[in-house]
Amino acid sequence: MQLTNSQGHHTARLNRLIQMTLIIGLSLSMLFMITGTGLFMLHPPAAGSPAIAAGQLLPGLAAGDPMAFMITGMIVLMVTPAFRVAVAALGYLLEGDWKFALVSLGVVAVLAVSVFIGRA
Amino acid sequence: MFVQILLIGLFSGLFGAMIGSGGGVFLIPLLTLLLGLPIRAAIGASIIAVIATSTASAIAYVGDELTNIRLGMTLELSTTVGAVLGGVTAAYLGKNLLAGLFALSMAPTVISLWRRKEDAPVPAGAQADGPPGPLDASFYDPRLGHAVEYRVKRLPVGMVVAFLAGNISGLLGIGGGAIKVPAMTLGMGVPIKAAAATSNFMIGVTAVASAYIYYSRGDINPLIAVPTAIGVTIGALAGSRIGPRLRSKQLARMFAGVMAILALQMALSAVGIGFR
Repeated sequence: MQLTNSQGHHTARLNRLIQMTLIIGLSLSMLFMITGTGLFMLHPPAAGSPAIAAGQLLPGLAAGDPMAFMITGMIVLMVTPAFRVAVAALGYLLEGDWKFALVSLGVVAVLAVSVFIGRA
Repeated sequence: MFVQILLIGLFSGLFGAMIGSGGGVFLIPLLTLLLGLPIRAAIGASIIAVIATSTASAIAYVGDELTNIRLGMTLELSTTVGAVLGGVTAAYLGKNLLAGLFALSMAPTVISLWRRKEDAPVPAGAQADGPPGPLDASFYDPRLGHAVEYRVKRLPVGMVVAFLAGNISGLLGIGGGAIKVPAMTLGMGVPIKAAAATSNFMIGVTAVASAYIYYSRGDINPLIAVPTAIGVTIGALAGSRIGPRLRSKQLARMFAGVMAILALQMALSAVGIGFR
């Protein structure tokens, strides 16, 4: 987008920031998922529910539990787009673009409501 | 099973990234009809796959400035509200009704793919009179070899359609790109390549809005969702590089045909024929 020099410059900078957020989130998520898959194939866990409580993820990772790695990868993937919206909101705030900062914060608010509904 | 799920994911991600959808419209029928997985498990995996497709393809599209981030962010506001409502509602619907709704939701994709025009970066009326707005943008089209500028029209219509697309996404675990892309292209004057990229950008957030609800309910099985996500990521990374360079009319029509058959099978399964 190159509407004006100033806006085009800001947009390009924000694009790079958003792109970096997505690259880091996706890479981390894939790292966990692929590691979990590898561990699962090497040491398949005993049959049963694959569910792991959120509090058991860190101990599971430390113990090399494949399900803990897979679930952590999924959670990182689910958090990435939400984090990207928050980064955009921050970017717009720093640029003084209040209108789009508010729009982005509105999206963050809706996502927060969905987490709340999920827990309820 | 693991490798089959991964390959189905790869196929869905590749073509999902090219046509601006999350790939769920391919993924869910293939997981249920080919592998015999329950539709709720397929929907849960698809939600995760849509986030992966969106994230992977947005990396390329945002870098190429094909994505109209301001427009995407604005439409995300209404589409996420729709997705949250859809995610809550889905728990109360039976599997046959879900399959029937899914078959119906595939119809717009089939029609838009079939009618897709070859290399039409600026649809008729895109350069309409009127003051420029903050959502207007431009991008470099590698096939045309020059920049394409466009103005965004009829935002309220786009917001309403985005809400409906989000609702269907939350209900059925698809990205809703099949509805958003035609709405942006035909209704808002956005060139198809920018519309596909912007739709891909949006569907990740749309899916996240219902993913938290599905995950908390235990409807996302990591043993299905993880190989799907790995497959679609590889597919979407490739698809987002190939897509902008393709002469897409024949490809789009071929997929419209495949999807029409899948939609018919899902419709039959909704009335209890051939559905597991």
